[in-house]
Order: sequence, then C-alpha cells, then structure tokens
Amino acid sequence: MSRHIIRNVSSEILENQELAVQTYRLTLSFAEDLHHFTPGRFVMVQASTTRDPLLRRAFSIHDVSPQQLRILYRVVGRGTEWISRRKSGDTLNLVGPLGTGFDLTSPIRKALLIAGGMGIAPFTFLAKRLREQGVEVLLFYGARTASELVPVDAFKACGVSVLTATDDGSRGEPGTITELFQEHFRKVEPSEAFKVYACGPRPMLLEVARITRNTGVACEVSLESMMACGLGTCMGCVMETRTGYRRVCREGPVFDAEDLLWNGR
Amino acid sequence: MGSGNTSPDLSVNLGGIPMKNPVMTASGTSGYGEEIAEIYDLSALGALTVKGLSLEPQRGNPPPRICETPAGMLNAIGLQNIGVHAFIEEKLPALRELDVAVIANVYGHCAEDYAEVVRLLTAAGGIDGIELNISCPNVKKGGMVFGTDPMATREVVRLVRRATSLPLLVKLSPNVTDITEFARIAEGEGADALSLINTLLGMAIDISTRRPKLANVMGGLSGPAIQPVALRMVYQVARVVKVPLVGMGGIMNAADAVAFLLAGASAIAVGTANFVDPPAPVHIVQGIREYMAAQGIDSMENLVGALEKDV
Repeated sequence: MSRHIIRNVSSEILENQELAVQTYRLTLSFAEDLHHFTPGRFVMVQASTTRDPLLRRAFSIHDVSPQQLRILYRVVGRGTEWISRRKSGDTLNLVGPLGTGFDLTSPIRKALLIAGGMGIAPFTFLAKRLREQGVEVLLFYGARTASELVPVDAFKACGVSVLTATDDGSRGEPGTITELFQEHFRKVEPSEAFKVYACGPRPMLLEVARITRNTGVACEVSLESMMACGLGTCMGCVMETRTGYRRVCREGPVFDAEDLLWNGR
Repeated sequence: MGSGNTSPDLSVNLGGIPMKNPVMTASGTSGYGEEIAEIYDLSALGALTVKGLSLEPQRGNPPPRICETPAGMLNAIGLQNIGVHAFIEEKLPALRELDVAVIANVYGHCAEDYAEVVRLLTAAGGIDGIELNISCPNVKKGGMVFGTDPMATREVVRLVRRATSLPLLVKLSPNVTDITEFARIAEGEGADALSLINTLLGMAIDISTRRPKLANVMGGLSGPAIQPVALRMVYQVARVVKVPLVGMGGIMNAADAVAFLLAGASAIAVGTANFVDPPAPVHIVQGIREYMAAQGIDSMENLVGALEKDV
C-alpha cells in the first residue's frame, strides 16, 4: 500500500500572496521531499478551524520545489475566503497528493496547453516537467478580463510560448481561448507527435474535446468537481464516462477526453 | 467508579460481534476499506462497515451528488456499488485478512433481495455482522421505504433474520415521527443490535441558477448539523430496547463520541468526519480511552448509558 505517500500534516505557510483579482498563490513548507507530488494531482486543504464550513477544499498542485508546495486559488466562497486570510507563519492541515494526474509517459515532441481562468493552476508544474523532457510547449491562456489573468513569468522562464485571449479583449486576442486554440490546432501537422492538455470550465473542456475528437491527437482534461473526501470513499464527485461513473478524485481528476460523456452539470 | 490506575478496557460485544473498541466507520464513508488503509492501520478500529451492497451492481445517481450545508453536507450517491458478487470475489479476501470486525451493509429493492444478499454474504464467510440499510433516503425503490413503514420494517427484518445466523444490525431512519416504534419492531423480529441514525432528508437550492444543488433534488443530511437529533434518538431508543445500539450522526471527535455512549450507545460510528479528518476514528479511540482513564471508568459497561439520572 502507498500509505507513506498520503499525508495528513500541518504545514507552515511561507506566503499567501494575491496575484490577480481575488486570486492567491499559497506557498507551504514541508519537512520532507515532495517527489511524489506530480502534475495534475491535487491536495485537500483545511478550510476552517470550526465545523462550519465543514469540508476541506480540493486544489490542484500549482508548483512544487523539493520542500515547498504551491497552490493557486480564487476566492469563491467561505472556505477559500478563510484560506485567503491565513498569514505566513500560520499552519494549514493538508491531505495529499491525491488522484491521477497527467500522463507524462507517452513520447511527444509538442504539447498544447489550454487554460481557462483558474484552469491555469496545474499547468505551471506540468509545463516545467514537459520542458524537462524536451517537449515544446505552447500555452493558450484565457479569462473573462485582463484583471483575472495571473502572471505567466514562470512559463516564459522555462521557454513556453504563451498566447492569451480575453472575452472582453482587454488583453491578448478578443474572444474565447478555444477560438484561438482552434485556429492554431488546424495549422499543426498531425505528424508532429503532439498532445493537448486542457483545464478550465466544463464548457471550455467540452469545446476542446469536440475540436480534438477524431483527429488522432490525444487530449487530456483535468476536471473540477465538488468533493467531500478526495480519497475515493464518498463517491460524491463522480463524472460519467464510457465505463460508468468514475471518481474525479481517484480515477481523475485528469481523464482522457475521449472517455468522458459530458452529460449533466 | 473503578480504579483509575489501570488502563481502561474499551472492548465491547455488539450483539455477538466482539470488538476491541467501540469505534466503527459508518457505511458509505470508508468504501471497502482500501482507500482508508492508505491512511491508517484499519486494525485500530473496532469495526469497519462497508459501503451498502446490493444484489446487482448499482450505477448510483447522476452528479452533482453532494453539496456542503451549514455544519454539514447533503449527499445523494444512490448507493453506487459493485454488487455483492463482485464484493465477495474482489474485496472480501483482503478484508478477511484484517484484524478488525467487518460489517456488511446491505440493501435491496425488495425484501427478498435483502435476504438473498445476506444469504450470499453469510455463505461467503469472513463477515462478522450484517447491517440492514432500511433507511437510505436516496434510492427510489428500497432503502428508506422499508425504514419508514412499520409493516415493511417487520417484513424485511423477519425475512433476513431467517436468512442468516450472523449478528444482525438494523440501521434506522430518523425520517419518522417516532423512531422507538421502529426500534421495537426490529428488536422484536430478532435484530441483535440497532444502528442509528441514517441521514436526515434534506435539500439545498442554488439561487443564482434556481436549481436544486443536487441532481437528485433531495439528499441525506449528515455531519455536525444533525448531531443533536441523533443524540436525542439514541437516548430515546436506549430507554425502550434491550439490544445494544450503535450511535452515529455528526460525531467528529472523542467528546462527541462519549456523549453518544453516555446516552446509551454501546458503540459509535464515525461517518462524515472520515471525509474531513481521515484519521478521526483513531483519534476518537484514543480520546475515549483518555476520558475513561480521567473519569476512573474501567470498562465500557460502566460508561454506556452512564448519564446521570437525576437530570
């Protein structure tokens, strides 16, 4: 069993910095190496010291250095609001890493990453790992408006090309990120051995899945779902797939786009 | 009061199930034990209650299946499970190896289904007890229909009692006017112990979309929000039946657990807390031990139902 890789530890906050409107980057310190934290996996984080709100909050792994974990999150409710008020020196209890992350084993030369809004969160880490493998990475990053975009310095620093779109045209191309992606996707030679990774709102993921379907290009999507346990026991976070309901927290959050049925909400 | 010098004895016999301590996991909150075993050694538990098993595999309800509510959560999983046959083939062998009592939670669409699942589990061996789920609010056929109709409760407990010699627990629904009526019926039909309570039927609405937050519209409320209701029901039932009770409903820590034991539960089950704080059952065992030592209580029989009577 992999008991040793599951943690339920309190870690110290090194930094909890606002990077964009209501969007924070949390840096946590650990005593041990985080080598088992891989791109696309997630952690369940304490969101209260009382019984209300009750549940932990699930966040993808934004970035990892040997003894530091970063989480990028937006304040959307009481839990994330509580987390945003934690200061450096405070401790937070965390369980993780959990779930199935991105597949980095298939040999590819080029990766197209599509992020919508907070869907950018797991891609910093993914892009770094892909670049380490010598993969050419192109990031498509969209949001409703410029003030919601977080800085992309970390991507540029490791040689990732970034294309941006905003719904209101306040930065980058006006329009949705899937429009920009589709334009580009058409031009890529199928022989280039590439792969698509997407994370963002469900309608965006559905559109990316539609664009890549039947093209022979593998597409992995990272899903968000309301979770109670994050461990695979409550069965609360399921997504419908070709083989029935699968747990976003266990078989996911990263799924092959071809396996998903996009019914429901 | 006993001596405070010796380590308290936490062992308990739950209607024929010997347990090393009174702490169990509630059905549906620890799967078939595999995921929880990644977090702590299951032998720390008094008993592990597995996710509800039905004759055939169940898909469960469409998502969204859960939502958070004030100091609690709603769920409408719909008893998604692999079915009793796959359970016996794939999950039970590992459970047999564990040094912990294993209780199989069972549900069916009709009374005969319940009996058949129980027969299969009994024949398979390695199960220490059966818990009848006649109180799930999230399935259209079966479940709570049995637990809120006195005649149906009588019928299903009677039929299952004939199908097994294993210790039989009946899990009661709180969604009734008088839970003691159902407790008496289950005891009268041969239940060895009673589990209470299952979730309370509830609902939440997203006012921005004007939709129920759950695809199933309604779901079962669990967590600290229901604890006073659960405690009250354990107290009421303990006064009218002789069989031991498993108290559950929003137990988050040892203090909560001790309250249920004082109210008359012989054992307690940890449910929603498994999601919030996965090792909670281990901490609760330790906390009960510390409470008993501090209070000079040497055994469970001196703790269970030890509420001061002159209140």
